[in-house]
Amino acid sequence: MVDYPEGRATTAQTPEPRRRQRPPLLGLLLVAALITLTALFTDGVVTESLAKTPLVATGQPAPDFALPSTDGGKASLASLRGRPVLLVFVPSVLCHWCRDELRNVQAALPQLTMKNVAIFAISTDETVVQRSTVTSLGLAFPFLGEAPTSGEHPAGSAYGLYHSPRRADTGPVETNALVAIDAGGVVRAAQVRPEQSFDEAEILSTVAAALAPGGGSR
Amino acid sequence: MTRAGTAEASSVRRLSFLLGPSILLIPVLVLYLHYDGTPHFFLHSLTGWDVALVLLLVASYYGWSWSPWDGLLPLLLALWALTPDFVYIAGPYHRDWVNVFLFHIGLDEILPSAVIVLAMVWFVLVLGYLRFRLDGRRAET
Repeated sequence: MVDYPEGRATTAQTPEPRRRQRPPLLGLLLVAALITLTALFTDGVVTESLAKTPLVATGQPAPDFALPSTDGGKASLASLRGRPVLLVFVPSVLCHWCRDELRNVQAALPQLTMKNVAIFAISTDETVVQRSTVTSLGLAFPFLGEAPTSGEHPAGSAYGLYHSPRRADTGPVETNALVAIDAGGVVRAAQVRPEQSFDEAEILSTVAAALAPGGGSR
Repeated sequence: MTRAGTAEASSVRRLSFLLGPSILLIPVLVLYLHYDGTPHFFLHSLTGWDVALVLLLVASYYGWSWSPWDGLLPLLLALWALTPDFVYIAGPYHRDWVNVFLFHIGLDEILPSAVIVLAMVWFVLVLGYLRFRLDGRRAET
């Protein structure tokens, strides 16, 4: 009972618990954010899976490409038509087995030069990073740069090396691989070896087998 | 100080609790700069931030009030999203299953619009955080 000065008295009432209403605008914001993020994540997973292409087959014409080169400007495979070409794919100039492989290619260079073999090394590093590696390792062959960005890795995708089909768990960069192309622009050998380097003897045998008459093995 | 000024100062202080812990990501950014992977840093840290802000706003939606520990969640989820890159620096490649780290490998394809979309979502969600979580208001009947 509550006493009022005028003498009136009332029974104190327990206030009803306040019901909380969830802000509709916040709900809308959350739904919009969830839809946007889900769409982005789904797009990423789908794009990533579509980036997996089959390994280039021996005997097929070598897919052409034009990429930024450490020698300046862009270099294309078509510009080397008439010469055998060795493509050296590495995931990155920063991985230690990749640097070992680049040193092995450099060591094999005199013999490859004698055979008039042109060499392109390809990775998904920035050109400035590749140039630093070319200088530090004393490489005498050019590096071509791709990007781990949707639609910007034409060589790795065309040769099936951006995601190697040999291993389902390869990451989003080029796989260690050697591709030998004859003077007529036909793929003669494609050797894939994720996370391991090729030694000098293996590099020379890959090129030699590819240059032999009717040669080419995978 | 007026009541409005006090409330504003309180909001600024509370916002600093949200943003402050993520200062610890600066040395991580320096690491990514060294490896020439700046876009990767923003891609994955923004992913962690956006997911964290969604979770914080969901908490507000269901009546959980602001906490000084709010800022830990964006930091932890950013580090979670970045984890496969830390492993990669040590040597092992990414694997498909690392998508559990907030779609790390899916987004590593670096969709042309991914960082921009994530940044825009972050901006909108931070505004939402300011509006719905910091001021502590709830519609009541």
